[in-house]
Amino acid sequence: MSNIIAWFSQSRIRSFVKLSTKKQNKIKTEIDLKFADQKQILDSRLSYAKDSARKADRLLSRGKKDKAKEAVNTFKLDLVSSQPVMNAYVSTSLEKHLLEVISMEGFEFPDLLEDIRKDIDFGLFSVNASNELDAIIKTEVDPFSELGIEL
Amino acid sequence: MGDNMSRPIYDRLAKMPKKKLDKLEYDHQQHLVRFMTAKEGKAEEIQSMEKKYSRLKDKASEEIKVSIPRVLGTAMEMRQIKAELLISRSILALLRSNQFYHRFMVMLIQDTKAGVEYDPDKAKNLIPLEFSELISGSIVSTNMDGVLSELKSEIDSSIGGE
Repeated sequence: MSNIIAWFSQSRIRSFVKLSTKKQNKIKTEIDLKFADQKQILDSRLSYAKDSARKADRLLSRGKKDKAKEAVNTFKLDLVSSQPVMNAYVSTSLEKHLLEVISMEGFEFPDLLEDIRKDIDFGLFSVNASNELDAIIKTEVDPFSELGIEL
Repeated sequence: MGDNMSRPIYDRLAKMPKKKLDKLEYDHQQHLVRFMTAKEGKAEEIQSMEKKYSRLKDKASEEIKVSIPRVLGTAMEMRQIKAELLISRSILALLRSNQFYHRFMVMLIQDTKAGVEYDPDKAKNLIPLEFSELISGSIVSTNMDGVLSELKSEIDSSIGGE
């Protein structure tokens, strides 16, 4: 077995294939619930952030610069607080979708392909451990500097 | 390289009676169709997300001309879609790898039945056809790093004259 693709070499993922349909469904239901909870929290954090951005825009258009600045700071806080939730959501979503594909009749781990070519890109599945996944997602954490905006 | 993995499969197939090969070919054909359909569905989903992302990028380009705080809300939405795109593209690669596997097995079985000599390069030669875009670019580096810098350059160019 190859260890190149991090997610596919996890024993938890490998052993899922061997489970009965009943046990597979139980695990999938648990993941689905976790996914739904995280999505709800993420949506609400994003909604707060968008509200703060809208508020800042409104205040700025009325010439209330100080209050607009406060609203932008709130936005920044909302943005930072949404990051860990976003990381957790991506990881759970990836696992949820992976288990759905694994459950398909005829599924095979890409071992044959991996042995033939080392340069096939499996995207986030190649990312090792959650801290690496976090680091990748974090590249977008600060839209201000990315946009070249100085507040 | 391809020889190491597919030779034992070919040897195993060569020892099978025709009836068993027919059954195996049928099964792989069914799996191939299943994964192909799932892959096409995922590709459509990705295309629709890309369109949505592109629309938001256009919106952000307009908003930045009016107000910086206004564009931030749109940038948040773009960030979420980009994350969804990353997940979907990773899943697409997995579906595609399964499509490849079953297509390859169907070919090997048909070759065995037809008495075709084993070709160690067959798998290696088939991969670029099936995975061309996945070999040439990295899902993560292509689509993650540029999320907001792409927007920034678009914004820069749109307000460059001001």
